[in-house]
Amino acid sequence: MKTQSITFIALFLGLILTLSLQMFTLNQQFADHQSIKRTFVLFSGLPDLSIANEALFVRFRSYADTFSLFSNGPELLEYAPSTFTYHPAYTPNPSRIERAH
Amino acid sequence: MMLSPDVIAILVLDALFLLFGTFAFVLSLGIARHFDAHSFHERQYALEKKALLVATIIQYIFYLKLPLFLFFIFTSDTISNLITGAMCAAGVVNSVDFGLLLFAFKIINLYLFGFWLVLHTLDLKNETLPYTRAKFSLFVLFFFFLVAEIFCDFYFFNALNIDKIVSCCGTLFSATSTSSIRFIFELPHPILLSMFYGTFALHVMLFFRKDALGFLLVNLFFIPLSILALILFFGTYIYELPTHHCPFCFLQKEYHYVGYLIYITLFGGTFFGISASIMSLADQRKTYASFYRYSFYLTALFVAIVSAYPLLYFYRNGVWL
Amino acid sequence: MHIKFNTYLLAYALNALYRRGFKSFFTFLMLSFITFLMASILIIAHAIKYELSLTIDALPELTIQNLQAGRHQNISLEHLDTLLDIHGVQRAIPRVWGFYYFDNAGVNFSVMGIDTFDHQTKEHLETMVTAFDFEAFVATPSMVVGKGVQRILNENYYKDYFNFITTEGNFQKVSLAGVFDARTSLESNDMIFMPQEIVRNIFGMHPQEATDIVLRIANKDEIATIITKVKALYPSSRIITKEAMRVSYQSIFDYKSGIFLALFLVCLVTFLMIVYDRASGLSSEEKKEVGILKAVGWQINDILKEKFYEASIIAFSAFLCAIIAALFFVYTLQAPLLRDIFTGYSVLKPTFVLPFVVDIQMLSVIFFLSVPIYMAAVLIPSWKTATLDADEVMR
Repeated sequence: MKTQSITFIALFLGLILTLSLQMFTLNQQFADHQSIKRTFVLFSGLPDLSIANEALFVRFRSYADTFSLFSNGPELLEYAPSTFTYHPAYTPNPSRIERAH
Repeated sequence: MMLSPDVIAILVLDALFLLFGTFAFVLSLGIARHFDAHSFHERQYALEKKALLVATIIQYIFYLKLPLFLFFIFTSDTISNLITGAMCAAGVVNSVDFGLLLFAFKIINLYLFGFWLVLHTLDLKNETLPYTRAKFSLFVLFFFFLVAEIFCDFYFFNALNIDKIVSCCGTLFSATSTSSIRFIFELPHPILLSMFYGTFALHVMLFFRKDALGFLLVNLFFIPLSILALILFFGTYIYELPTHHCPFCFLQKEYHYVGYLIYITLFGGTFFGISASIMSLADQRKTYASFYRYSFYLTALFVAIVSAYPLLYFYRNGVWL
Repeated sequence: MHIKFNTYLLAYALNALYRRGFKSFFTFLMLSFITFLMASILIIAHAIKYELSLTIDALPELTIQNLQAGRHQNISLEHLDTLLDIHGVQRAIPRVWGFYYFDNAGVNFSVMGIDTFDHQTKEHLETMVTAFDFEAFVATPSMVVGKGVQRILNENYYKDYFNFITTEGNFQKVSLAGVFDARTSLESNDMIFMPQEIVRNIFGMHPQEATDIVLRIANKDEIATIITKVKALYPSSRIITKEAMRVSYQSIFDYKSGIFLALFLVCLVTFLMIVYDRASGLSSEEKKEVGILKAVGWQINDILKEKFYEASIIAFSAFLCAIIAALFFVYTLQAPLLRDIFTGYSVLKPTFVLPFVVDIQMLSVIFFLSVPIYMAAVLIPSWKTATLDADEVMR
């Protein structure tokens, strides 16, 4: 009876080991990507990823103006605060901001 | 409404708790009314089976609630990045009126369900099942706490609003006149600290004497006192900032998540302390030494951690804050 | 309250699962697959969000756009000196950039003008482009492009130059000086970089105008004050901060994966129903098994515990397998099919080399939405099995 338990526990630990190994190798593999990506963004100064580039308001979503608020990109749905770079007004007493306590 | 994966996970599990809880509640009503260990009636057999189901459900809920509570705090901290003005979970929680109530409910429920399980173990050890009716009557009561918590959870996530500017913990926990808990800042540090360490000394003394009633009272008193001491005194040393009193910020990465350790030791220690006392009071024959021991170790660890911060600060800088 | 690990019970549970063969394997497979699907989507969304927040630090602190009637207009370079006079502003950089639509392939290129006199330009280009000759780049009209652009140009037989059509209808010949490192593909795929004068010529822009102006600010505590000052000087401007972008990224990807999860829940509930149903319908052997166990002295609690072991074995192994499979699928195979949810419909698609990021929070979400839910589905059926009357099932 006990050998089966041990086999199972060994298999289970094997799974955990595989997972950690996988995480380790992937981490190694992608470690050198970070600095070059940062250099690129520092160089271009433009935000967002080129995974969708059909139009300005999709490719550079963060720079989209108020008229392109409802954009039709694949990862964008009609959801105001998320499809438009939004910040509460800079004036001290904006009327549309609800202040809590 | 925040529809992030974390929030959905919490809400789904809440819904599951509600479903199972309601089921257990209905069964508990019957058990609490009709259970009689001496009866040989057919209904009694059915009730005994149902009692097992309810106990299983409660165990399921409790063992899930523990990690879920930590996850809830973690999520609130993440959301604080999204909400203007919030620095940590305190701001997020306080963005709704009942935020602190929700937190209190979550902690109280963990204690209650934990005590229930302790009572359950005690009950099963005794072949006459002396506490069965009591424990299911108690669950009928606890169920309302559970429901209240779940509804608070739902309204909390529903009311979160990115447009809203909330108060930061710096203003919530400050000595200025606008703060709602200003009055506690009038307590001088020497009195507070002597009370804190005095209670701990009493805790140690009663641990060695195994005085159940005294241990219960000390533990009950120790929870609010510790939280007060964390806000007023120890917190400032963790942040090394005399004006920052927030009891939530040290849960964050910047402070190496030390808050999780602090709160787990505090709540764990008092939980075992209170359970040990209740069990000893209920069953005079045994002393439940292991629970006393857990309580003592965890509480001592808690006191050691929070005391280490001011001492290290003093050692490094040669002055107190 | 006290849970002790019992290896004999574990062995018994394993044997019980093995006896039921296909039934347990099917449950395991289904749970693994569902968890795998959920994990993949969450990992992709999380990785994209991470990528964005990683690069956001490198962006300029403030971007000032000129709005007219709510639409973006070019900004006059006259503002530059006024902006530089604001205390705390380190540099004010006018930028010229925009889209160039290439009819033949039906794609938009993002064209960015670079300042060749900036001392950092050379250094940056040399780190990102292999075997780059800066002198040659400056000497003739040249461009540096992303991998995707190079591919599209190649398909249209432009091997080492490209003819841009200016607003006046003339050709502007620009030779290809280099291609960006493939590792930056997620950002650089559709980008073309060339000197500012050439971009102005192609887009027909006035020399005293720019697309926008970015401000570099050393002290981030001063940003709020600077915004107020710029707003007072140019009320029609729109000012975008890094902080605002960070918040919108967080909410969009939370929302995106949230919508997915909300739909996914339907799938999960269906699975639960199947598991519940399968666990409730006991075969005669299973009934006999419970009867025998009871006859040899097992209590209801023991049987419940054994059932709990069975469920844990399935749930935890399925969870681990699903995570391993999802990581392999997303990072090694680059998420075929699923990536289309996140990328656009344009033909200019980047290779999907996502940053590797797996943290406790995401693993917890996946855990909470798989293991406890499976446990919940088998809870009541297990109890039903455990409370069967011994005499009745043995008969």
